[in-house]
Amino acid sequence: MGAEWVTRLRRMSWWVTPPVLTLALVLLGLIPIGLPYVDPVTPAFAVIAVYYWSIYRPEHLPAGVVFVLGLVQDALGGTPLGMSSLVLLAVFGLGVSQRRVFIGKSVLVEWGGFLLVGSFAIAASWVLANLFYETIIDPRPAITQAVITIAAYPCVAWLFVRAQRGLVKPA
Amino acid sequence: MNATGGRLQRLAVPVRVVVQRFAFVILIGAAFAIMILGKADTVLVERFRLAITDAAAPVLEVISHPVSGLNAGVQEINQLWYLRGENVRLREEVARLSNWQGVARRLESENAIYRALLRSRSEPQVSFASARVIGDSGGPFVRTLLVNAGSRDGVADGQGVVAEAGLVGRIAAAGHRSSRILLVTDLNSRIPVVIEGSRHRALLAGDNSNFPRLTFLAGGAQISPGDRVVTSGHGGLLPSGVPIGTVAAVDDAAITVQPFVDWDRLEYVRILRFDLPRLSGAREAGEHHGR
Repeated sequence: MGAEWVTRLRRMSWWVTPPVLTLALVLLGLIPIGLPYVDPVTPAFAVIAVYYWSIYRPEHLPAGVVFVLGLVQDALGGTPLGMSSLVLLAVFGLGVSQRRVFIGKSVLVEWGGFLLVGSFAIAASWVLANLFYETIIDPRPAITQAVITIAAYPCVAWLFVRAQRGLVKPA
Repeated sequence: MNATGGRLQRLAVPVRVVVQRFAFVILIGAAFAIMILGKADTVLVERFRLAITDAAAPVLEVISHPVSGLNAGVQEINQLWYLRGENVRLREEVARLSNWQGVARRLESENAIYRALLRSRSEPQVSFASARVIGDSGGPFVRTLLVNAGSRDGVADGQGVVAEAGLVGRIAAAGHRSSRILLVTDLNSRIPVVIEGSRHRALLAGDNSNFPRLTFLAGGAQISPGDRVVTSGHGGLLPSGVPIGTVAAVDDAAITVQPFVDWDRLEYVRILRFDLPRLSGAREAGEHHGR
């Protein structure tokens, strides 16, 4: 009886952990930090998560889940609904198609890849937001966000590596 | 049996790939469609957004508590650092303000006398709901805040939101137990204002920077840095005379305003339930707020 529960929990955590972890990071990104002298932007945690899982375990964060995460982020963050979904799906597509390039390479290669993909994602968001609001938005906060997102990548990726090791594939 | 199984398996892999590709394309299309829908039918999209916000509000409320505690700690250290300078500044300010208090008392009584003489209609009373900030946008494209008060607390779309220092923004969307505030600095924020001294009217337009701009200012208006900008009350959604900020810079390109609100320390806000009895059809005739 006990063992059955453990396997059931394991099977659940295999599927549930990556999306829940990503959702938690998205929520964390919304908490007002309120540090003086800092732009009110937080790292784009969802972009990091989608990039990481699309390379190592795309089945953990499939396209449907990526889509929903994007919607939740837009709904809570006040950005045009669908914008983050679109950008995150693009990151997912890039990650899945290029995963062979990164698997088995050093962390620096992975980080370098994220430098490109992360910058692309935030630039794409900026373009989409400009189109949606039909104006030119000051790009400086977006640049700040790109910089802190790329800087945060190793920490968040480390968290995901730990989580991934803890997950045991159910038989 | 075995052979069919094997054949099925051989078929299953490419079929799965095709289905996955198809799903991916469908999802991209859906995201596009939702964006376009959001541009066309804001009501439907806003309702969906509020449902998600309401669901997430309790979680955000819980996790924002320790963060605001941490914040208070950081600010405490910051304040200790500047304690001496702050003390001197506050002493000067107290001296200056006690002067002003005398002036204000005199003007208040004078005003009351004139008002009685003229029988002028005074402004409707403003009641308010207090709310805690539980989230901000976190992103670089919008300037909004989430607060833990909604329609169950009497909050409705368009109401003004103030902090101790001045106007924060307006309620962009009120959910059941949470609401989104559009800050005066947001790209989409337009607030009717007047320059306090000269009574020139203008529109305060946000541009996502910390310094919103004055637009639609009458030609020939004399504006100089340091002039106070307050709400004009035009449009009937905000009470008049709520302080917003001071003119920061005047040049050929734009007149920018430095808001009074300290965006980094915004923890609690007040949502103004301001209702002009004649303007809102929803109110019963007997329920006037005015004196």
